[in-house]
Amino acid sequence: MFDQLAERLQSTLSDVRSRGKLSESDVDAAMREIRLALLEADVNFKVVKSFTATLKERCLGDEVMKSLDPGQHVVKIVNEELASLMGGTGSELAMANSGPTVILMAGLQGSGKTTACAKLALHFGKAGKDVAIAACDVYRPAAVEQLVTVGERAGAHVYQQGTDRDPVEIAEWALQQARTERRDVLIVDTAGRLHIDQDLMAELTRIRKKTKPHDVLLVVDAMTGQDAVGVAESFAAAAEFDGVVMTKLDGDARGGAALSVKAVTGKPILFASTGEKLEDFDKFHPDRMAQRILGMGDVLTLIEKAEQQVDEKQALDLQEKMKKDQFTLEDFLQQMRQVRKMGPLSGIIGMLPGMGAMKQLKNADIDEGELDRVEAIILSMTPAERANPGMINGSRRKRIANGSGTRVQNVNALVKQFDQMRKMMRSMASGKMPDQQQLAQMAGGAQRPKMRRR
Amino acid sequence: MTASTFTAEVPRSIPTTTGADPGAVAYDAISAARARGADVVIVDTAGRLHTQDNLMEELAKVQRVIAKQIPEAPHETLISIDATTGQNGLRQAKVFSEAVELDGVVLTKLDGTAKGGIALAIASDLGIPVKLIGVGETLEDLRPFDPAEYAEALLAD
Repeated sequence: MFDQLAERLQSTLSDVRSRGKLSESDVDAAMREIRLALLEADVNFKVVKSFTATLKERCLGDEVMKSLDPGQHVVKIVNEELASLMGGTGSELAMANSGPTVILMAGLQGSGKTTACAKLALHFGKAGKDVAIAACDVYRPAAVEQLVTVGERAGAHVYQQGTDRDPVEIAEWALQQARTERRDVLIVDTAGRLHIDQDLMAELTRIRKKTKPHDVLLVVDAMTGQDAVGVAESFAAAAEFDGVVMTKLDGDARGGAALSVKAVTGKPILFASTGEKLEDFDKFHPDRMAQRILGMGDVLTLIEKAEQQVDEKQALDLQEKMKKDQFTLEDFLQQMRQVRKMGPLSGIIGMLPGMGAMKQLKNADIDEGELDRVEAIILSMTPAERANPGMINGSRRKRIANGSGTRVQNVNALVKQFDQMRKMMRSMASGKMPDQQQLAQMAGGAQRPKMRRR
Repeated sequence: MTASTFTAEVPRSIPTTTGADPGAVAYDAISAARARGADVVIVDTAGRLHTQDNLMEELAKVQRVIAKQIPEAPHETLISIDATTGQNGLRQAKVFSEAVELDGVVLTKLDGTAKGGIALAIASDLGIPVKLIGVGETLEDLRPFDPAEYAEALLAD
């Protein structure tokens, strides 16, 4: 997500950076490009107008015009304003001092509330909290069943009373249950509703009054267009929500809704849902997101994800093995699995600084299926073969290919690439940096073969 | 995925278990429909992001399975687009149309405040017209698309 916006902003800014001194018309030209980029990213037109006005004012000020490197200053200003647009350094959920923390989820039909409830439950579960979810959507067919299924998968207790009771009563009852059973968190799922549906908005207000939530979250689909702002404003008036959960960020939507909602309602984006699995759910950091959009990467998130997967002692042991040229295919398999647990590689690449400049790598479109094949091939090898690929002769290759459902060519390619990797490690261990050709050869294996001619 | 046949009196569903292959379900549905002399078979598929190649391929497969059974089928392939969707709607329609041949758009949730303007781009850039509109949550809230009415609503306020 945000790819298109990122590309255009980065291109405009690299142009600005290359200019040295900036005239007012240079700034005007840059502002126009930024305005267009934001509009095409689905950012609300009112927000775009005020954003570029603020930017322009700052860019024409002494801070930039009198500096030795005005281009760099413009980048800094755009970064700061973009981060501020989305919510600054990030906000926290309000938690209860005693009794369960109640979180009410609201939003349009199809925004992803029910899934978000389960993901939020898992998020709290990982932090050691005892979570319950209340099923207050009695209208959508099978909504309660869906919540029970995903809620239990997330490790939460689901409070439901079917579809015959009034949602407000179910919510009230659920709160009692949560208190009696001493749950840490109660997440209240509600039915999707149009912000212009007076009856349902009144129902939402009643649920809010009865459950007294510590946090009300508006769930917004990331691909929402200009309508996002009107929806947010109406929900703010009826439910006074505290923050936003952005969903379906794994699509290629431009993401403008995300940028508009905070600007217009003053409420920050608190969470981002980035994939189909329950684990694909993160706290939203506006400053990190701004940096990613501007190509500065998101090293903090990358580190956090890596820390979750990597055992320090294991990492040190591995380093020793690499130095002593004892790195085996078994080690490679473990490494690959750890990296893959951090999430889809296309997402990880976005977190590396400077990836904006490395267009080829960004569009490399890593084929996760290829990585599955590599895993299957290694798993079809015996431990002896993994430790010493040199012993893999013709008949072994055939066996491995059959066992992994691949072709002998795939097995050959893997063995060859691994060999090159080890050669590279040997030369790195003796102090030499890997050259571009070696890197390209290694990267070539994981790329999709599909190449489009322009 | 369920395949349903509707008679004038009573809708009949062909039940499936989750985890069944969508292509197989479509095949069974059409066979059953033929056996019962049904007039229409509506094939519902799972929602999917156009960025997931394997799911796009699965959709293409379902269309192929249907075509093998009845040469001109599917007679209509419709993509459902939420009226609140922004510019991404065009991208969705484009990628879906690369996987399966799209005959039209069902523009849903027009009962909200969103105007679904992206349908204009989809019709103009991709040549895929809006055929049906969704205007509410009840079963009756599906209407044929009226371009004049839509244009009026688009330009109102």
